[in-house]
Amino acid sequence: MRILLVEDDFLLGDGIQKSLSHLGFTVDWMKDGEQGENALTSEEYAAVVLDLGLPKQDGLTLLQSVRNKGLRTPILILTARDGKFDKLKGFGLGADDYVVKPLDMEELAARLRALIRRSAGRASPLVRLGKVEIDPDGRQAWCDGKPVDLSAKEFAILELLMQNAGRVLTRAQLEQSLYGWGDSADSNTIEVFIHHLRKKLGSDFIQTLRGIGYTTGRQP
Amino acid sequence: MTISMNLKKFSLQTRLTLLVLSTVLLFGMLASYESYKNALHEADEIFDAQLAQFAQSMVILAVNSLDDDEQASSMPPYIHEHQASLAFQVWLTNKQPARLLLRSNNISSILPEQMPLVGFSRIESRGEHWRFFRLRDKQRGFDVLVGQDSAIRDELAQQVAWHNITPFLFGLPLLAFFTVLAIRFGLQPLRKLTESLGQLSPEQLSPIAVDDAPKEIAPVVAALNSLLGRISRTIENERRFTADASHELRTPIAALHAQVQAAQLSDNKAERIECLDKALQGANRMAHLVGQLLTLSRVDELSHPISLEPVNLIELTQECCAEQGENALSKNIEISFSPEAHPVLSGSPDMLRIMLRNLLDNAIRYTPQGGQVEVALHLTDDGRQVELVIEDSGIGVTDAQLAFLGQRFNRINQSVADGVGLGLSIVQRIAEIHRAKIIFSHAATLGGLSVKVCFPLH
Repeated sequence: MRILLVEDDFLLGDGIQKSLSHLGFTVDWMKDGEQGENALTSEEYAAVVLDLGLPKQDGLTLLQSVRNKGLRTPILILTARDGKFDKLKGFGLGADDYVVKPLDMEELAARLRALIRRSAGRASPLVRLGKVEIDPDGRQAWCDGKPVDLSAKEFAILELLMQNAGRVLTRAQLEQSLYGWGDSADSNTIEVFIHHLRKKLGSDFIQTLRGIGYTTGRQP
Repeated sequence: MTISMNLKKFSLQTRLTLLVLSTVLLFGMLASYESYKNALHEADEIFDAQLAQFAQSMVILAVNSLDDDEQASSMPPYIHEHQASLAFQVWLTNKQPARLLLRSNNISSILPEQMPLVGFSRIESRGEHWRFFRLRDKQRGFDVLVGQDSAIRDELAQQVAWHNITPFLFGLPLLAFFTVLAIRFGLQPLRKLTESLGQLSPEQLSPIAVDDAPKEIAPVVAALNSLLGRISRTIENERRFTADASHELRTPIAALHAQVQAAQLSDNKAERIECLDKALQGANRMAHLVGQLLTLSRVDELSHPISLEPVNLIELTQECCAEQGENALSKNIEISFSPEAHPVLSGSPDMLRIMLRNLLDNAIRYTPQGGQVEVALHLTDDGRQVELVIEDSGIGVTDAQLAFLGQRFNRINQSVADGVGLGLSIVQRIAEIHRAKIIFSHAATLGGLSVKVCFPLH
């Protein structure tokens, strides 16, 4: 899942980006409010981690501005400001969660997953589609009730396809969601992961639309 | 001594009440005693006047009713009990032998062996005190003696005197009661002041209304209000500083936490080493921040340098520049010092060193690779100030940002360098303590920031 991190502190931003990528997220990191808003309006993210004290444009201004534009992406405020007034203001301007620094990276990941789950309209953490079931929070997958061992990238692709069941995702969309702006991927990497997934889940679970992309659309 | 010591423990009201009441009581007693004595004396005078009048009346009476052959006749029995306390006798002395004309029934029993002298006299005879008045009329030949029992006289005089002072004695408790009331009423403004002071708390330091305070208390209230104002500003500063400080500590802690967790989550050795490296950077940054916070709180507490010593500003600046040499070299920054004066200041060398270190550290921090930092020292034209100028070829600040320099935790150009935003606050505080003035401006030749510290010369 691709998320946007807007944080001006170099060491903190770097630490969050690394930790979250190990926890199954793809993190784009912007270091000021203007860059953050540009990225948020031009790219599609599953969620946003937003610092408040930012150069060029304050986090709350950014929040207000993108909510006014009708953006529905879940936004989590991560800040050192712990006053009640600040929290109320954050929620009032459209934040979905408010977390005070410092915090545990696994907790941050869990909060982000919960926000993404809610925004997708699901209450249960488990996603089931046909014979396959995944737990995005626990990062586990089952096929016919038996646990399946998946790598982080394999899991990320499977999760994305199952979250968007019925939709066709292009290879570019999958790549974008798997790799941030900085990372580069070989052109056939996605195909390799899909191949591995088919071996583990059966060849009929993921269907290929030649020249277009992949879908989990028609399940028996 | 002990009374005044003990009085200090009492409230103002008890103190005033005790002092006023004891004064009133003391003077009341003195006045009563004097009044009593006067009353006794006056009564004595009146009784004496009565005795003299009585004696003269006897003479007139005897002249008018003189009968040559008449023997002294005895008096009729007493009509009033107090008659026994009066005695008299009248002799006719113009013929020999002298003849007793008239005497009271009791005179023989009280008459002393020796006749009293002419005029007033007090004589004890047979256990009783009597006051006598003897009048001799040689022309007409009368010798009159009248006497009065002293016990009766004294009793009557005492009664009169007591009547004189009783209203005052009965009035004393009433006087005390009203004194207490009056003092209570008089001290009401003080009580009101105490009440309004009692309602104050560190959270609520509103000034006390000065309008209805009497003119003795008004200056106290005004002084208190000014103190309250200063205290609430100090508390406000403290509160803001604590909030800022905790806020500023959270981000480095979060960064440290995130880097360490990233290292834990990573299964790649090179990445783990990189994360731990950054965690160390984070720890260093926190150490720097905590150090600056401690320095600031230390210089904040002082209003003047602990010890004033003559400071050779040239030597001190050279030392500090040398200290920062390694720092400058690592960024390939050229650092130069050109002293044009040899001033000796009176100040704290330790604090001035902290100040110079912060200024140089800032200059180097915000100057890019290969830049320049110039330090100059010279006297002003009038020779009354010495100016220490530190200029750099860094990115400088905008005109709008100049005004915010020195505000706590105000970091300009965070993206360029990771300062903690306290250095210039520390510098300003140390300058204040040394009565020096700080001027921030754009460096004319180098293009970066120019910081000028103007020390007054005594």
